[in-house]
Parts: sequence; structure tokens; C-alpha cells
Amino acid sequence: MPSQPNDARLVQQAIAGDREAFGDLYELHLDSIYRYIFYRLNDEREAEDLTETVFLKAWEALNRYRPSEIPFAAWLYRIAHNLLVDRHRTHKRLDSLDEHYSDPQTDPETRALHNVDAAVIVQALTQLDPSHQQVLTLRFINGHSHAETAQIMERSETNVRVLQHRALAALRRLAAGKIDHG
Amino acid sequence: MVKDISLILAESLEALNHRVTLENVLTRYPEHRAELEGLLKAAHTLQAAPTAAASPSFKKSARARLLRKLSARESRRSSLIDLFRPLQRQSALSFALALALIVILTGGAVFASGNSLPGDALYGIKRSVENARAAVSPNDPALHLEFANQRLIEARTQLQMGKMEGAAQSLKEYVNELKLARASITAPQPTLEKQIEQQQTILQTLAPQIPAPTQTQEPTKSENKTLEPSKTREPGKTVEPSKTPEPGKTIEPSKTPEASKTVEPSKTSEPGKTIEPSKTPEASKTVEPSKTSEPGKTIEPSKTQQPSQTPKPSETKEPTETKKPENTPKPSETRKPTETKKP
Repeated sequence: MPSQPNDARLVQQAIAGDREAFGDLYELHLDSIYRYIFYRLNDEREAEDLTETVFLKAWEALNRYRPSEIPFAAWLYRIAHNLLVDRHRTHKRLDSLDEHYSDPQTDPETRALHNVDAAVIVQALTQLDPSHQQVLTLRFINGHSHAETAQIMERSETNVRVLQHRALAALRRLAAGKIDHG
Repeated sequence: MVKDISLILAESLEALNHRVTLENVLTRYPEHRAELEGLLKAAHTLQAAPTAAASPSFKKSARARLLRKLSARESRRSSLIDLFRPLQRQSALSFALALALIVILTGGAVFASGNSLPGDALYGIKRSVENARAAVSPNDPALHLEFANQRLIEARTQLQMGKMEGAAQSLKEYVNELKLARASITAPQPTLEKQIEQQQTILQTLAPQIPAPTQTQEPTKSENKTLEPSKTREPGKTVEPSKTPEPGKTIEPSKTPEASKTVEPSKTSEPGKTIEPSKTPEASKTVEPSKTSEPGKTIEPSKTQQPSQTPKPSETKEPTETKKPENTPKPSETRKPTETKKP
């Protein structure tokens, strides 16, 4: 888990009610949380709002946070994940990929994986099951290891590996199908 | 199978992160090459996607905005807490007041029960408190003396109120308490013994005021036998035995039949069989003994009989008339045996 060196001290200060310390934590983790959210929503504005909400929730729940149990960053991801799941339940966004596809080739799978714009893959990512989105975002966008991802997702590493395989296979199928039908 | 490929995929991804080329990785797993290649390229595409970042405008004001919102939330929370704080204080105050009220009422009830008399609502509390004290301090002569004094006060008060029955009962208990007080004295206690003697003196002066059965009692001898609740203590309802002439031949107040238990005409003619002992009549319907002894004045129409139904004295003397059902006087009008026989 790529933790910030000042996390521990800032977290303690924030738990004690120091808002400025919490502001520092916000600045330290804003980008990673924003990315985690953005690649699952593909909406900049919504990602910004949700990122801010993550930290507001974190501030409210700070008295329940136990630094000895989980790194602060992983805790933030969990809050973000829960918010995304809630949002997914209420919105169920199904954005069309059609408008993003513009380079058809003979082999749909090959086109999806080699020739289409990365944005198409990212767009496909938003169509996946939340757990698949989560594992792929944590692993390949936010760059967390299997162990870190397992800690954030509260799963075993073996389970994360299996989930990662299934998520990548689903992403391939989805991207290929969308491109094929486009 | 899935586990295998998932592990191979994980190992391959780790190898790529350590700068192993894709081709080298794929050659390690020739049997999974096709599938593995697609998965690794998908993963690589995600990793190579342009790094998303919040807009500079958002990041510029993000911290200040967040802290502002935190302050606003804190203020709202404080406002809510302030809003409920008076209620909490009020609740605490209400609770304290309620508790105090309970204590006052309970204590007040105990206090108020101190002057209660037998039959009062609080009298049970008074006696319960006494029993509790007696349980805590058994064989305490001073305590029994105190209780005796209480019974004496009750007896006097009830006597003044005309409650002879209650007074007798209290006096009986008073005697009992005196007895217990005396029995509890194991060592010479002149003061207590003197008090007991004083109480007995008081009893001697008080006893004559109580109806007959209680007058005969002696505190140290027969107190348990004499003070039985009398059924004839209430003067308004009964006739005092001492005034009844010839008890064996006349109607005793306590033996007068009730209205519903009318004496049959045939029975009324029999002097000695007229009265059931347990059938005490109401005062208004009771024939006063002093009047029953005078044949001519025994039944006063204005008191006990309706004028139209009142048999004339001359008629009541004739046995044949008294046996007719239609002429039978009502219970309250029942002639007494002694009347019917005397011409």
C-alpha cells in the first residue's frame, strides 16, 4: 500500500479534531481517490463531487477509524467503494460506447485490445460488475499490488487473483462485443 | 483450471511490472498463450490509459471548500446539540423532580400514616412500618411501649368518634403491646416499667368508656379474651343488652329477624321460637326492648309499620287473625310473642 509518510501523524491530529491536518490528508489522497472514482464513472464532475464526499464521510467517521487495522488510504478506498456501490444502485448508468468507437478492424477482440482508444476500454470498465471494476481500478489504474488490493477489498489474495482474471476476461468480452456491434 | 490461469495471470502481470517483456512471459506458458496474451494486453491498456486527475480549478479550491463544509457541518451539529441540550437538562431536571416527588410522597405517606386510624387508607402503611421496625429490633420493650402508646391514641380517638368497635380493637392491641413490652424486659429497667405502669393506669381510666366486653379486661390477665369485636357495639343499630328486659323471653336486638325472613304467623304465636340469633335487624326496623315490654306500646305505626297495614292491638290478640296470610304483618311489623299472648 503506497502510504504517505505523514499519514500517521496527520491522521492522529485529524482524529483529535485538527481540521487543517485533515485538509493535508485530503490533499495527499485526493488524486488517488479521484482516479479510483473517475475510472469507474467516467465523469469528471461527478468524480470530483464524489471524491469530496469521500473525505466528508471520512471526517465524520474518523472517530471510528483504527489506524492499527487498516492503512488510511485503504480506508478511504473502502469509503469510496461504498459510495460508488450506492451510486451504482441508484443510477445504474449504462452509457453507450458507440460514440467512442471509431476504428473498426477485422478481428473485434484484436481491435478492442490493440487498436481502439484507451478511452473505450475505460468506458467498458464502467460497464462491469462493481467488484470487477474495483479490482481492475485498484490494480491497473491506481497501481496497488495484489496484497494491497486484497486489504482494501477485504478479500484474500487468492480471491483477488481469481477476481482479477474474471474481471479482465469480462472487460475483453465487453469491449469486443461493443466494438463488434458498433 | 480457472485457479491455474488466475495464478499464471498474476505471475505474468508481476513479471511485466519487473520489466520482463510480453513475449518472454508468454513463452513461459505456451498452453495458455492465447488467453493470456489477451488478458495481459487488456491490463496493459488500462495501465496505459491517460492518468485521470481532478481539474486544476477543483484542486485549487478543494481544500478550502472541504474545510468550509466541515466547519458548516460542525456548526449544524453544534446547533443540534445546543437545541437538544436544554431538553437534556430539562429531562434530567424532570427526572430529579420526579424522583424527589416520589421520595416526598412516599416519605409523606409514611409520615401522614402516623395519625391514621384503623380503616384509614394509610393505616396499613403505618402498621407495615411498625412491623418493619419490630423486625429490625425484636424484643425491644421501648418499641413495644411506643406501639402501645400509638394503639392507645387510636383507641382514644376512635372512642371520641364513637367508633366503639375500632376503639375496642385498638385497646386490645394496646394491651398486647404492653404485654410484649413487659415480656421484653430482661433486665431491670425502672423507667420502662414505670411507663408501663402508667399505661396501665391510663387503661384503667379508659376501659370503662369502652362497651361492656372490654370493661372486664385486665391488661395482664385476660386482655386476649375480652376484646373481641362485638357485633352490638354500634349504639345506633342495636339495643344495649342491659336495657333489654327478660332476655330469654323477648327479642334480643341481635336476634331480630331480617325483613326478608318474615316470621310466619303460625310461628309468631309461639313465644319462644320467634327469633333467629344471627338475624340482626336494621336500627330503624328494630323494636326497642323497652317498648316491647309494654304490650300496648310495642308497635308504633309511625315508626315501623305502614298505617294501613298496622294491625290493631285488639286484632293481634286473636290467634285466628294472626294466622291469616293476608293479615300477616310484615317483618318490621311482626308482633312479638309476648305481645300476642297478653290480652
